[in-house]
Amino acid sequence: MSIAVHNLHFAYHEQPIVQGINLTIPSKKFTAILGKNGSGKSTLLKLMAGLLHPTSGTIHIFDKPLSKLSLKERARLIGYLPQRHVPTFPFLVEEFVLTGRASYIFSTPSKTDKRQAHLALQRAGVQHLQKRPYTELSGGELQMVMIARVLAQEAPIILLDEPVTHLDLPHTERVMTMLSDLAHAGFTIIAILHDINIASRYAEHVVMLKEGKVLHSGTMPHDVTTVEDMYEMPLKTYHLSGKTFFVPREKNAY
Amino acid sequence: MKKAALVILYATAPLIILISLMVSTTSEITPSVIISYFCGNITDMATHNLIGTIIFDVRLPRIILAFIVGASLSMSGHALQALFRNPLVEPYILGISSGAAFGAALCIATALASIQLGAFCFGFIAAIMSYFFAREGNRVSIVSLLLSGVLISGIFTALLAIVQFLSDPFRLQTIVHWTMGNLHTATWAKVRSSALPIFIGAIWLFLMRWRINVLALGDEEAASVGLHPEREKILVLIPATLVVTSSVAMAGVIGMVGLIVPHMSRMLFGSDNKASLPASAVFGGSFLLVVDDLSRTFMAFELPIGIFTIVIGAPLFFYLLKKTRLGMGA
Repeated sequence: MSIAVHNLHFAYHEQPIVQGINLTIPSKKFTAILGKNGSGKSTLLKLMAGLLHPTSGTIHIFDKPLSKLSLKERARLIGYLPQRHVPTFPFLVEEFVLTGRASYIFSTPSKTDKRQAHLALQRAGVQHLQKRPYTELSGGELQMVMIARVLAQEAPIILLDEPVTHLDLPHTERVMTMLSDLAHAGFTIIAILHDINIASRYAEHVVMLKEGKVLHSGTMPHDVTTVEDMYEMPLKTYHLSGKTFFVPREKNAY
Repeated sequence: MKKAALVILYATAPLIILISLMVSTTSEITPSVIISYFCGNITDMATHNLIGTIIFDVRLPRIILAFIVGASLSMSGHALQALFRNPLVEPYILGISSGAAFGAALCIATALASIQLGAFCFGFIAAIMSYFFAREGNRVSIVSLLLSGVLISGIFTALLAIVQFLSDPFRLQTIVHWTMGNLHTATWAKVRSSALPIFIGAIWLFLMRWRINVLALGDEEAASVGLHPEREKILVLIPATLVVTSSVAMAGVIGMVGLIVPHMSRMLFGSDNKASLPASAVFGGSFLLVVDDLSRTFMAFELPIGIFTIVIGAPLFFYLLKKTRLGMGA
């Protein structure tokens, strides 16, 4: 197991968000986290990334307690892609991707760091953008560059908060194919997805959350009731190429 | 292109220093006299000694003071703009200028300690107060820090007004002159007293220059790649405060330099602080030196340097703004 979560609780100003989550995330697989808005998906992801500290409970990364890892050790194990990044300074793409190497750098980047950043750009297929200011990229290009920055970290686990929410269909396909390829190449990918049908196509493991609790963890359920319970709306299923797809049963059913 | 611009910047700095030695309002000490002095062509011992004193005890400390004050304000302004992710940030954002002005005024009015010491201590106290008032638990948000800096600045401005109100006219004039910035009172003693903290702060910021890139992306982005945002903020704020308070203690409050030079530096040399932060320091030093030279040349009498930095800096900044993109995102 790459990540093991035990009895995890978290509250914002005494408002419980995560309520007793127990979870194991399989290694080298693509895991999707699903749930309605406010179900605690982003909070759970940030807790797993170590960006938030749990009120109680434990998280283990490759059997090591997350709370015992230094920031540098953690950054070398877990890469995190935020839901939204607001660029301020027009860094060149290569300069931006190089910042992913911060856990390896004391003062300034070495040749190895520059080489790794370049490899990450290649792997993400965006090396042609390296001399462009990252403030001038389209949403799709920026997301690929953000992924390249995470890849430059050389972390075996990559957490992504809604990586395709703002992307058009071609860019969504490109990002999802790439994440799927990374999982096949040995990375553990954990992504929050709003579109259950994208999860159905790409994810090998799904975690369904409702009101801060785990409703389901495993392969995508074929029966509709669990998914209906999660989204609290009537759904119907379609089956295509061995995958299950979900659509609302009727208009205004929510 | 950027590399060529950097080479030009670093090559022109010693030239500007050399030319500044020759700049004069008097008709006696002309550039040719100074060249003759260095060539050993002045045979009269008394004249030789007089010119030597003017060069080494009057002009050189002023030139060095102008250069290191310009470099300090620009370097810390550059680092703080990146840290705060805000183009409007200047090095005095934590209330340093108001605190230092109050400290200097208090010492001018009461003669409790030297003006420099008073300015340094209260400049530093203002920055520390801004930081701790902005702190919530273990976190300091950038917005809170900006707001608390504005408030602390307001408090010290009010305290300064009280001191000015209670001071006699002669001391009041001295206080007002001090707050406008002053390079004409430069001495070796002044330069020596602040050289060490500025040197330490500058080296420290120089070592932090690449990590400032990471911090400029935001707290979450920095934490996710292994930097502790709160610790790193302190690691930038301490040296930035050190160089600014030391330079304010030496030369009073000189505006605009720390705001516009970092922008100009980013426009010309790019956003990567690895190159543009040291460039800002050299650019700022050269810029303030040129401004000081012009202020000495154009006027028969000395106007405070703070006025000239705005008069010369603002049009230059507007020109660059029209010619190139501002060194920030859209």
